[in-house]
Amino acid sequence: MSEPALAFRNVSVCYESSAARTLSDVSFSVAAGERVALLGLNGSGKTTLLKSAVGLVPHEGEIRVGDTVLARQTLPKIRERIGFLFNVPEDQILFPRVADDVAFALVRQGRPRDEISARATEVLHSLGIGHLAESPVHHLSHGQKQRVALAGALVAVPKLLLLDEPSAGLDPPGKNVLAHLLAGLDAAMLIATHDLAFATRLCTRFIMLERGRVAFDGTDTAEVLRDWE
Amino acid sequence: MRTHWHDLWGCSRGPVVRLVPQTRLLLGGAAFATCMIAPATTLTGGLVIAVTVAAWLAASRPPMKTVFGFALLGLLLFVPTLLLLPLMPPNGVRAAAGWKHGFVASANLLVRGMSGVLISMATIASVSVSDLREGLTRLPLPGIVSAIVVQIVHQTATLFYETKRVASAMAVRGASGGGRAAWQVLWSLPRVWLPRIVDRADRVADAMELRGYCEGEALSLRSSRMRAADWAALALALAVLGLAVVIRGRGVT
Repeated sequence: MSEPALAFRNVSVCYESSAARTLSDVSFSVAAGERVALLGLNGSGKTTLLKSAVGLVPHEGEIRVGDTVLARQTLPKIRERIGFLFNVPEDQILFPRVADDVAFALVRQGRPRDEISARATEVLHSLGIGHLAESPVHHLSHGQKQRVALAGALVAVPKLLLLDEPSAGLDPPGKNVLAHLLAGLDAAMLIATHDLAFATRLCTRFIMLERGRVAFDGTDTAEVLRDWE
Repeated sequence: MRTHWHDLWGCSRGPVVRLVPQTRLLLGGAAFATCMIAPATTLTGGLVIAVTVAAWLAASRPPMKTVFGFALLGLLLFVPTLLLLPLMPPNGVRAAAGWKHGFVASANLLVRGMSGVLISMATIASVSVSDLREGLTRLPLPGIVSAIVVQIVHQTATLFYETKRVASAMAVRGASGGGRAAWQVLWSLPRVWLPRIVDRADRVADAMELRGYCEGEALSLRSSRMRAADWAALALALAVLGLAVVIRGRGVT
């Protein structure tokens, strides 16, 4: 059996500013190519879980990405394999021009210039924002920024995608394009969302967090909906 | 439509935009240095400064409205120094000479300040933020320096928009109409707005770390090879800078 794309084993996270644990004894895994929705109410720990998977918050327990255990020494290697979408797209757009921001992951990998331009253009077109390549990011709407940030996460064809509220701020056609695009990728995905329609359309498995603990992990959408309501 | 400060970046339409970004930055730097070095209160020095400012404005050609706006800003900033004249002590010399001495000092400040403001504005207008990044990347600077400079400019624009949203929210919620409500909101603003800025800074730092923004060399996508026009413009700017140094060194009036 192949290695899971992402595995949490008894992972807990406790912020310095808080006495309570934000994540408590969380265990699950995401198989290669599997699309998993991470559900939960506000403050249930979804964003913290995603951040812990890329070493942005200190954790106890074991986190594995592919065959690599998350540790200080392995962080760069692990981060290269992951496409990450923050829940506020503006925070992760670091360049003033759309094409520059989207291309950044490939530029860092030292790929040839022509290949970088072609790939960045391809991703932008696939998200329906090819015409924005030369635009300054400050002139974009929230939904457009969301797509630019997504393009930056997808451009290097990562094996694992961690997406925090990817459909937030998108109009219905934008959500359709995004769901269609993500469904066509081979990458494993863990998608934190409140958008159940989007999650059920795209994901085959659902993990529900409640106060930092896994309250449900399964494939039955009826059960998910019951728990949700 | 109102123009915001970050719209100033890259708004010029002069011949200088045909040069590569690093040349534009160097020309702006050389023009600024010329104005700071040439003696501002002698005829020759003043002429060098005036010609440098006029030439750089003509080469950059920012919108006239912007030029006038910044000229006004410069006057507002530096003319008030003349008001300090009556407060300057005679310092052992005759009163008239003391006044003259004070006037020369203030005029020096005014000329240098005005020229600095106008040249900085024209330089900013001649490069878009992307050009700034390209230019800094091509200059022999540590990657971290250009990365941080670009990020400061980029995030300042983001904060500007955030501040605008906060201002809109204040207006909608009745905080701009004066009275007790306005004071209440204004009083709580630092406690709301500052933590938001700190939170944002934290999140941006996370994104920079995750995306490897400050690791290794700052790389560039575009080709920015310097051509004959770039070298000629740089040679001219260095010649003028050299002239300013000579005028100052030899005390030419």
